[in-house]
Amino acid sequence: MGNIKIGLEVHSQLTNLNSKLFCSCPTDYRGKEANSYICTVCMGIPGTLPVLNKKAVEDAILIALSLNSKISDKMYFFRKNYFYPDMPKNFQISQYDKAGGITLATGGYVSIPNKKVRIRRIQIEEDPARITYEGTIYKSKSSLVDYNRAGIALLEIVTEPDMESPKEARIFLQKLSSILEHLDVCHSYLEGSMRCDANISMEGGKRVEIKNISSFKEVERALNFEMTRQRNLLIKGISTKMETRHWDEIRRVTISLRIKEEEEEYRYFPEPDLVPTIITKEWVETIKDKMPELPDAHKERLIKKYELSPQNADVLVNYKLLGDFFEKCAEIYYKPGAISNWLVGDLLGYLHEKGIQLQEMKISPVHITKMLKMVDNGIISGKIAKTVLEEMIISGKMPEIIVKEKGLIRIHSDELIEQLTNKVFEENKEAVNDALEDEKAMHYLIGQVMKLTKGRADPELTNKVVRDKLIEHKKLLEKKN
Amino acid sequence: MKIEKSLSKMEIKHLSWLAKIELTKKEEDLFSNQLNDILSYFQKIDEANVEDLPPTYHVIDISNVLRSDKSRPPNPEQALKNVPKLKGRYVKAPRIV
Amino acid sequence: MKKIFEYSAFQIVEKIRNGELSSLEYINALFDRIKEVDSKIHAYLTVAKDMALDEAKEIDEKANKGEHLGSLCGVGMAIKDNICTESIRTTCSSKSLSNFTPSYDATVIERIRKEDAIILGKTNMDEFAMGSSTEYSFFGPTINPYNDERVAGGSSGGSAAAVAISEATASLGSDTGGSVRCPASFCGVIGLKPTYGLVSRYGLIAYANSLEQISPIVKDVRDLAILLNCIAGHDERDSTSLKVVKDDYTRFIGNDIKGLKIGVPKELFGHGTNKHVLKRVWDAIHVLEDLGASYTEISLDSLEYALASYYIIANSEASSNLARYDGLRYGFRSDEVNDWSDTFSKNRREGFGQEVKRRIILGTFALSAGYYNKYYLKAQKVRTLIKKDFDKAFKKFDILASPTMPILPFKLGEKLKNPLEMYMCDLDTVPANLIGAPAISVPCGSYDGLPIGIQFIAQPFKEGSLIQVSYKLEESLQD
Ligand SMILES: [Mg+2]
Ligand SMILES: [Zn+2]
Repeated sequence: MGNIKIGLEVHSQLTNLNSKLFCSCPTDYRGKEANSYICTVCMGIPGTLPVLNKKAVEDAILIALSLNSKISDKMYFFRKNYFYPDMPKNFQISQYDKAGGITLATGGYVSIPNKKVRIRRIQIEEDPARITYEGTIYKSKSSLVDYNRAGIALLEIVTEPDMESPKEARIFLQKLSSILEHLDVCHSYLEGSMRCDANISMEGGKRVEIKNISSFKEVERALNFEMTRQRNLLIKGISTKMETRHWDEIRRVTISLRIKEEEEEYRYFPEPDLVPTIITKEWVETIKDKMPELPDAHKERLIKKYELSPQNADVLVNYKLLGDFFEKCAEIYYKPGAISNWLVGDLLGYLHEKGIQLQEMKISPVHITKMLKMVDNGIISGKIAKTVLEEMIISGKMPEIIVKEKGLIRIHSDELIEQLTNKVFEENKEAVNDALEDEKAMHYLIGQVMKLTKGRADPELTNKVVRDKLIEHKKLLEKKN
Repeated sequence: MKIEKSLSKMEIKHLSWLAKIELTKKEEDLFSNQLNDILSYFQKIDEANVEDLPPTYHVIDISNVLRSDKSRPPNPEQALKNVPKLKGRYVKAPRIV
Repeated sequence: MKKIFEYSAFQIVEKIRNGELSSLEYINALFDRIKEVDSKIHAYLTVAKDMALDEAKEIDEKANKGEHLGSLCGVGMAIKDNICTESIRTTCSSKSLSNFTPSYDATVIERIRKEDAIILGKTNMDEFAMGSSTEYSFFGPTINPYNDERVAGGSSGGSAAAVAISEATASLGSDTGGSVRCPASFCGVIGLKPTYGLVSRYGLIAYANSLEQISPIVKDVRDLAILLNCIAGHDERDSTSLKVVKDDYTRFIGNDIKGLKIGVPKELFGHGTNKHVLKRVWDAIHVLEDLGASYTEISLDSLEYALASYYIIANSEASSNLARYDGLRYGFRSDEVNDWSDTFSKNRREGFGQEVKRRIILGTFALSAGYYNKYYLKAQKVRTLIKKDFDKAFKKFDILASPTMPILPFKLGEKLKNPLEMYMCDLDTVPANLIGAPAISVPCGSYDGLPIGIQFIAQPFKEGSLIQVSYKLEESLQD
């Protein structure tokens, strides 16, 4: 089968701004009542005019710098004219690289394992409103528009078709989102803050564009579907036609939008209500000075400073919030290896399993370090610690409280463990006999004791008691014989 | 004056589709004639020698008009005052597909 | 003796300030006047009588208490119906906005209110300011106060007619390609299009953003200076508004014009120009000569492209500006048909008049793929060419003079059949908009009872020169 080429058009909200791109409406619209975060400007009320948010330009420049792009020394806004019910003015204020237009930046790349994905251009534009439906899009008699999102600052990042598999596209997006997270300009965990369109072409077929991919987790799915669809067509000798398809997230299929090419006439022209923005070298320098540590440097530092495994470091960089969390933990209790294992393994695994976002978990670094100290001091076992961790994430209670409430403290009592060992030996005579020769059987006996204490028995002590008991048992047998 | 470009009724149809203005048959005919007259007058600028000139997108030379990233309380009452059809707090629009 | 509603704004301000005149009495007189003549003239689309009377009472109270009174205190003003006024319907003379009541005041409205002006109502215009006769109004045309068979000019026809027949003491219009100067000329009043960026466009419902300015219409030049003092100045809500040091335009009143150099571009005195218009305009130029100015006939070659360039740019911008009238968020909404696309098309078919549709289609064409370079981009380059020509002229001359309109006020319906003929009326006015320069129309006589206006154009920000020369002309012609 032939080569695949994938290019992406990523739309990323500048989520750390206080106000929208062209008006002063606040940006924390998520979870708010429909049409409550709007004003006359972002609703496109006749007579109102846009005024550009300076910080939006600066954040965009910061991103462009981090992607090694060339910042234009002057940029314009253009109107992209098309009708749609989510467009307050039926044009989008965007940027354009033709017809005398200059976008914020061009060129650049993102490094992913074994390759650099080239960036074609970066531009600033306004987010449209959100449309919801009564039921599904197909059955809904009308659509309902919520303008809260309209006018939020959006950065469009367009790549060259450098990705060669859906998986690579996902890896690229992960890397990009990690970069934006490190810059503290776009938090991709916020619903709908990072969306993308993808184009995919296979050798022997035409370029197909897939629109409406609402999160980058969906990208791999959509591309895989499309790849299979196109392959099946090629096998049948049908070549794909140039078209735009819609990703239906629910049915997990792409659907042809049956758009005639001529319909994509955007009639771009310079936005007369905004003036050019000149980006001086000095301005870029002051922004560059604020450049924080980026993922690659971050990973290297984690490995060097904390002697972490590259795998753990990778995860901590990809989940920057977790990476920061890790460093705070390590500051409190310097056991970086153990901490990173806990965070990358058990903690992240549990969050994924329960569908909890990192920022939703109720624990602080102190929770983790306290828990870890309890393990190291033999107060709880590693196995118990896992239970404690899960409970902490959900309730936010401190580990010592959980341990006390649930009676999870380790049993150090010789007497109690001896009693239980006797009981196990009574009930597992065969295993006891086997254990004299077989290590495995011995561990089975230890396990039984642990089980009776719900994992609370001190493992070393239990180990010792069982071994002693076995020796005793052996002696007894020898005496008998 | 020679007319290099004349608008066919097909093109008028397409333009009216792009502009989302349904035209009656009569309007299509009328516009086709009128717009061709107007366009042939517009051809006048073809003669202008402006190859080396930049376009004047902004007649007064200003740049970098930027506001600081301060948010103000939104004003939904002002924004929603003239909405013809609301459904709850949503603006009701025709169906999409 | 002048009737109370016939006073100039500066006289009203003076009389109210020194207690000679009750604001309420004067505003009532204006509303009586409106009642008397407007059924014939149709300058107003909406009157805001209750609000105006309340404000008049407040001003009288302030006057009685000796409180500060603004520079426009009590002055009854009419506002073109494309300038947003909070709680007063603003229609752009379009069915598509026939039920639109803004929830905010345009910056200029805030400013005149702050100076204690009183808004009488909203005036008729060509739909979305597209036209030169105020015949393209969903609500019917405005009639020329001097001749009831003729047009008032446009698109600010209502604002000019209202001032001309004293249904308002002063008014605001908007000028995109002559929309204030044309009706000022046809109605025998003064209209000034300021330098682009001098007056905030915030709250002006856009027709062609890169060309238009909100513009005052007045009875005499002194009023113009006072009104311009009030509305000019930077507004942070309009990115194209300029930060210039505010001038006091009244300081140009009465300054003599000895040594003033006037350029007379022959292209603005073209073949089609009515000979009576030519005569009056030349007479006025000679009056200025007698006052110590000198004139030279010049040629600005690029002007032959001005009208085409103007209409391409204006219609292109308009096609985009008017896209928002789809019936969802405000304005006229028809019944739903099929899907959003069909419904939008129906809303817009029913909401817009024919001239608006024509211009939107033209603008859509000029911006569409394959034609952008040929039309829109070329027109913007031509604009540069014209600007260069004017820059050169302004190195030699303080102002340029020409007829405002090449023709006399024409008969109602006369130019409705042929849109291009209507466009041709704007030949002399559009250059000022293309280059962003200030331009004024001042009455300079009449023929057969029909007013004629002379146009002066100055360099950007030289409104002062226009006021200076216009005042001198006004003074001489009154003698
Ligand atoms: Mg985009
Ligand atoms: Zn807003």
